[in-house]
Amino acid sequence: MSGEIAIIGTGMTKFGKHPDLSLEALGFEAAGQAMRDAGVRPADIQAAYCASALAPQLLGEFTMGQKIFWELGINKIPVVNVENACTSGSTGFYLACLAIKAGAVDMALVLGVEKMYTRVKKILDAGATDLETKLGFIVPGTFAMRARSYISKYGLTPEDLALISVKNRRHGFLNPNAQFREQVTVEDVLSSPMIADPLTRLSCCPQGDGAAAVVLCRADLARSLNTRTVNVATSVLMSGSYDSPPHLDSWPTDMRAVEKAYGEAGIGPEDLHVIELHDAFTIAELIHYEGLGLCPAGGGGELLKGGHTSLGGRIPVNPSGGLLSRGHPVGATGVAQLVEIVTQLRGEAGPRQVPNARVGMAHCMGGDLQGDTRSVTINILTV
Amino acid sequence: MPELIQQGLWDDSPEGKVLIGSCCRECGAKAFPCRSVCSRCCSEQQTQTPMARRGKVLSYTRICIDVPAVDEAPYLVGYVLLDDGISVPARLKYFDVNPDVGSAVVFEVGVTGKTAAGEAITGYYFRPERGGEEACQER
Repeated sequence: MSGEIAIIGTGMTKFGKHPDLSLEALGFEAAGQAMRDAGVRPADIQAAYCASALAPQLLGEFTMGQKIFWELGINKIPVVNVENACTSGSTGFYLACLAIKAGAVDMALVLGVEKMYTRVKKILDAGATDLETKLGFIVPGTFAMRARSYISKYGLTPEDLALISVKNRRHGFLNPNAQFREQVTVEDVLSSPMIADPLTRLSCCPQGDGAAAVVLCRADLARSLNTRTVNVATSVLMSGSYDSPPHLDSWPTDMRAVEKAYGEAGIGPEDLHVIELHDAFTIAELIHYEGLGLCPAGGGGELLKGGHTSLGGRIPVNPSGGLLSRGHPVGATGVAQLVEIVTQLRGEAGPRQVPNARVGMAHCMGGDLQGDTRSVTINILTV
Repeated sequence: MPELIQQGLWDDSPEGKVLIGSCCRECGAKAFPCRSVCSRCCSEQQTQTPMARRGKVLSYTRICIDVPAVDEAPYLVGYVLLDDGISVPARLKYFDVNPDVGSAVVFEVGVTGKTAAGEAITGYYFRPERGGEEACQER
């Protein structure tokens, strides 16, 4: 894929509570921004993807893509609505890359959108019919078990874990689109209400409303359209295996996906300048450090405490604030991560800019079930 | 009859109730709940087999928020590594103090939740190997 596809436009709403904006309005705003940023017209878009993980459950909505894209004047083309848990948005991007790579279309639009502050109150679980859900497992609980397993194996403390929230809130403070822009201390994190021991409320990402979009096209077309293009070095989507492994301190799919991604992009972890990864809970960021090869097994705590993954460090992780601070409107997250990496590689990230960032990764994970994740996406972008 | 959490998860054995898993006749891979196709070798030759009643806590958490389907917050859930080497999701009950990673536990069948109408749901859980048996019978 290297050199074949480029991102030419991005758009994003602020993430947070938007009681006055419908799902359609959020999607319209982000997608419209992305098209204006790319300088393209509705007729230029030859395929469009709309990702939302929860709209059918929370809003009773379906085929949201058609509704939103029609408002933008995009019609009579293939429109695909995508659900793949937290990787819904980045799966839409993967599908768009495939369509361009296959030569089926020259240009595509990918939108991730979610509205979670609704009248329907629901605790996120693994799916209503899953045995784990019926036993009383909830998403924060599954991650809490990983946290207990990881910190007991590697001798970390809840204070160490809390540093992830502190770092990502510090980053989110610099991001005008972030849901939470207040910084927190280790004490704030540990003294917030317990959700699933050892994860407190400030160890968990918030739910949110929001949308993010990108326009992508054949790289040769991009060069004639726009000078702020960012290349897609690789786009990988990988499902998990459910073999109930006798450990909880890694997601094997991270390793499988990233091996393929590094192979296709012809780079290694040492070549990355900036990363957005799926910090739905503090522990997840630490485990993903290892999954992505940033450190050896058990080295996540040292990488974090040494400041290496903070802005100003060797390999800044989640400069946007991550899910913990930017927020996590589920279907929008995978695209929002891409928007952040594009912004960083364009050098347009303002006070949270990683200097001279030329190679960036967006990593997203969807669901946790029987010892593995259901889905991982890895996108590596370059300029 | 109380509602079952799911059909076919456990059965009677000489030692009491046990979880029923599948075992691949081709490669020996075990799985719980039962599978009709082996995820390791794709064989459809699966037999149902009783799993070990004893195991160790692989990890656990105390859920501190209200979950309507359980209705007894706070409560413990965990993954238990059975003595035959496979990990299973489970409720943990009758722990007077929090378990440790590696605590020995034993399988039991009992109430683990409620339907929307408030009826008890029979599921399964693990209790401490030592000290939990009497408490379990008293209740």
